[in-house]
Amino acid sequence: MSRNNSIMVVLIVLFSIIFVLFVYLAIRQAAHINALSSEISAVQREISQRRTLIAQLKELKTNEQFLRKQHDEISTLIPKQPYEGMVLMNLQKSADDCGIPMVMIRFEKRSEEGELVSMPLDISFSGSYPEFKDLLSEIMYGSRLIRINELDLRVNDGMLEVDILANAFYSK
Amino acid sequence: MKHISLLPYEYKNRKRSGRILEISVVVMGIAAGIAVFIFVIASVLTVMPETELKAIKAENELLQSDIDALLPLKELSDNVKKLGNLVEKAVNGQPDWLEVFGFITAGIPDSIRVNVLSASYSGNTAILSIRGTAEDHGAVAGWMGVLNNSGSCSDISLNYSRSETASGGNGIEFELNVGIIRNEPFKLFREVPYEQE
Repeated sequence: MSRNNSIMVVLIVLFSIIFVLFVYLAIRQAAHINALSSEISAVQREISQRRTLIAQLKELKTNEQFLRKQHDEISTLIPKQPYEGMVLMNLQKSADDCGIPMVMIRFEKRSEEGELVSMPLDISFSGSYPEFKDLLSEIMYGSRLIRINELDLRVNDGMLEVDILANAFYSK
Repeated sequence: MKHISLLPYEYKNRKRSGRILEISVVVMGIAAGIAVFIFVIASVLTVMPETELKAIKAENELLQSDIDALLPLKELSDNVKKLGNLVEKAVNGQPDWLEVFGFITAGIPDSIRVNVLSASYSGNTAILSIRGTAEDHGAVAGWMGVLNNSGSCSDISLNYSRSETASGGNGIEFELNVGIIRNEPFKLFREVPYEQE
């Protein structure tokens, strides 16, 4: 084989190697571009979702004061502890404010339903009907949630005797 | 005229091989050049999406930091919703007792006196059991008629209506059961329109 031919064979081998190498690299670049496009789409979707979330959060921010007030009110309605003393004091205060003395309060056995714990109450008052109506309003719209299950009203010697079976609540 | 080559066969063969090699070098050179060119183009094309990705990633991070700053509000809102659901569950369709008592007492005729009133509820119906005295049976019947025509009562039933003479009175005693249907459930939170700043 002449020297010229040898050089040409070397060149063919060299060009073949360059061809194979750069075709491989080009394919890798194409795959990389494809991966980048997918990633761009994913990030754009994420950006869109985040923009929506930010819009919602900004709306919350506008209502922040209202939201905090609502949270405080609801947290008082159903606190995280039983606070029987608070129930007792609230009822006593409501009764005093309405001029219908609280005769008795009894806390019955509690029951749980999920996160909610019910505290059954048996409460007795003695007074007049207008006072009872005021008291009912105080209990129903009081700071602590009390659900009235049963009411018993009796007139005895001109006085109205009221028995209320109710539930106060707290969350676990 | 016929062309006759007098060159030796080996020489011709070598020359043809050299020619093929030359062509192969050129073809492979061109192919390698095209491959390099394609690679360069692909590399240039990669720059654009890489820059775009970098930019949108930076924007995404910025948005995330905005979200992080506002996230406590979302937790607060979720907590309010959760507690609100607990309140709904706790209220459990309780009737508005003020409305119920207001309705029943407003319709009591002067000739009737209520002595005992027991109230409970089931679903959206407040169930009342009323014991009292009346001038006569007609007064009780009249009141039952009024309740019946009010459109808010169901299951009105009279347990008894009897003369009080046995117990020393001069009227009649009666016991009545009434169901009062309230379409609007009790709302703990009165809806107040929110005023935006």
